[in-house]
Amino acid sequence: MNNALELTGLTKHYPGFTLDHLSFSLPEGCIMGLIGENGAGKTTALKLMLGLVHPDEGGARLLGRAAADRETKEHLGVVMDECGFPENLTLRDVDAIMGRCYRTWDTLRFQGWADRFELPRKKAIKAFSRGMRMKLSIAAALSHDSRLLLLDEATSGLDPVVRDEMLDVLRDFIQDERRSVLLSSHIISDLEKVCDYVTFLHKGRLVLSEPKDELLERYVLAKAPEAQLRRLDPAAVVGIRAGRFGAEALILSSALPAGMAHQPATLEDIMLYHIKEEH
Amino acid sequence: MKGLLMKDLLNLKQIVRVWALLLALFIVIGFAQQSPVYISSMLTVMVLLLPVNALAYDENCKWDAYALTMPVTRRDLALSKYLLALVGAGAMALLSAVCALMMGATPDEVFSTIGLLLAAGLCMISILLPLLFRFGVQKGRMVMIVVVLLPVALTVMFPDVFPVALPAGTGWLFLAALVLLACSALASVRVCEHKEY
Repeated sequence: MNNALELTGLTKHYPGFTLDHLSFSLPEGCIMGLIGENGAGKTTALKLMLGLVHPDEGGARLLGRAAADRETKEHLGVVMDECGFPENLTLRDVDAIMGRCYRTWDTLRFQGWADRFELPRKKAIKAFSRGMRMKLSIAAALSHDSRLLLLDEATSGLDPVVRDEMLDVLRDFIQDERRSVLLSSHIISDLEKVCDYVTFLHKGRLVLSEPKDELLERYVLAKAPEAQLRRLDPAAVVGIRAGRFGAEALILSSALPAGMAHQPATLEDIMLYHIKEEH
Repeated sequence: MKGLLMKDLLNLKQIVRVWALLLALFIVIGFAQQSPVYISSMLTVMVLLLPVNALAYDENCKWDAYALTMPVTRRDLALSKYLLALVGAGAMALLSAVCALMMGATPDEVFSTIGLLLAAGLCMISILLPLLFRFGVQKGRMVMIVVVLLPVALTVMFPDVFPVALPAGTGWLFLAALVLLACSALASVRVCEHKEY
């Protein structure tokens, strides 16, 4: 299987923040969720991949090519936290402009998405709500021959119904196995629904990047009195959280003692416990 | 590049509309007073107005970063603003030339006046654009005021040093302005290549 995205040792230093030798890859035909707290480096990583920011070390391959050049970008669909289109434009303007920027731009498809997302045709973008702007960006990302979607917080600002619809759109998108999606979001439950792979950044470092199902199987949330949890093998315990009515711990499933109460860990649990343990 | 130019023109159409109205008014006054200067004076302003406003809009919606995810290069981003300036300049030069000729000015007069104004506009935009690309429109605003007002102030204070009409030299002046514009374009491309979006 080919990789749609391959990062090797991607590094960028800022005052007070370093994205530290980030390496992971996204196989074709898959959806990867990029998670991490605010300021973990998700947006920086995306900007480095796209060549918006110059790396200090390392590099990224997109769609098998060494850099995000013109030809590669023809096949990228990118949605960033801001919509990017100047405010005075209307849908028709956007269509006309994009048709001159992308060789493979498909006006009919764009109109189809715009109708499906119920975007007003005659209004200027400045009258669009945040949700509508997001939908416009997503429509634009899907209306040319994109093989790799890079979505940065694309579902934030959308209501749960629309978010769910977006997830369906992404699932449809990867039905063609040459296509892939990298999706960063704070709404981890969304990612859990749709992702095949999870990549977790924390303070500019990679914590893990692996298939979601393996990750979810590896950990469980054990529930027992705190003293009992403290007696478990420390190497198998990610973290313990004690409350007034008992304690729970994120531990490796393989280390779960027989008979101990437990429940499956969610991605959110896994992320929170990993971050909390650092402090 | 075509897409970028189109984006600016479509986005600026409201401003262009207001200016067209103003221009119509100037043309009426110009014809009433039989003085083409009214119309030509808009020329310099137009050369500056289009690219600076386009840049301000781009900055506001983070267009540059978005455009760079499309099949658009950093070089395209820089050069498209020069193209926009030339389109604005060309349109205004043509319009004011036609008006001046209709008012009975000789082609020589028309050439020298428009050439001079055009050269002035191109020089100003040549100095401005690399700075605006480097520092952004917000921070670059002070520079803009200096670049635009200084020549005006100097001309008013020392009218003899800056001959306002020099028909013989206009051709050379215009050529010099084009050379400056080309150097400026190279500088802007360099700035954009190194910029982090």
